[in-house]
Amino acid sequence: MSQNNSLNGALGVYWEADYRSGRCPQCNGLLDQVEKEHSPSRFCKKCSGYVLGELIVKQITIKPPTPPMCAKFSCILKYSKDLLTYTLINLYHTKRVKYAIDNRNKKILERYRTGSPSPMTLWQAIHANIKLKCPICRKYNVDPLLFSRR
Amino acid sequence: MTQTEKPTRLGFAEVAKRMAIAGDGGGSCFKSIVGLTGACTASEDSTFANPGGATKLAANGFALQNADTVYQHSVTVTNDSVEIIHIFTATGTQSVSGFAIENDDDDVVFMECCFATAIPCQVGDTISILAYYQFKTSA
Repeated sequence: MSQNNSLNGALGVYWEADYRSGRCPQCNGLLDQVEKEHSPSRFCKKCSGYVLGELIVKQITIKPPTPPMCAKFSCILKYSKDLLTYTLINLYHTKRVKYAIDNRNKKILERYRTGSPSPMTLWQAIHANIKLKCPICRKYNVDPLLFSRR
Repeated sequence: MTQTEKPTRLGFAEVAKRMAIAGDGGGSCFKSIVGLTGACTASEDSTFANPGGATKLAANGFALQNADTVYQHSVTVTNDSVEIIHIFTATGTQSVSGFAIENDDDDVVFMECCFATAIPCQVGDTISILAYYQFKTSA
């Protein structure tokens, strides 16, 4: 007797972490303790208000591709492509986090701090990794392969 | 006729509810969070003693503590997840390589996150954690 015992999706976890400095993004003054429990806002004496500390970097979860459910060549090929894309996107995020932390007090492209927009396709991941390695491309926000702003 | 079985949507929500608001009264619900330092790799075999194979922090603002917020949240279907929110404020220089979320009894790790790049916190820096434990990952 056959059985259909599909769970339609099992357990999963998701994490996000915002790493912020203890300084005000407007006046660069030191921030006091948090406004209240459960709130990330902190008091800035110079600005006389509650603000979020300056964002240094945001860590995000990248979900791995789903393993193939069939043994066809096309399924395995698609999975291989998805796996390569996933690896390159992960590599990009690992490097951008390190870059953002190393440059915590410098002006850098916001995308390297927030992780957004994140590359979604293989082609975008290749571009993003090359751009992150290229100081001139980062400075002028230019795609190294297309010579256009992205 | 073929035998069929399914967990129900309301069932997923009921499990999440029980785990989010201490429904069992036995300390098994989501409650605590702790910072990790040193080499860290998330693993299904992790234990409370050394989540991720890393060292649990006991100082500089990252010691084991109750999470700021634990509640039910909807991701795939209504109320299918437990959401945990916490803000750590560094009270000293500290390298943080990840975090682990534990039960109310502080003897089981539910989930752990090991960062690809450790965060070198300075005094006054904050790390805001948002985590979901999702009981139903796809529709």
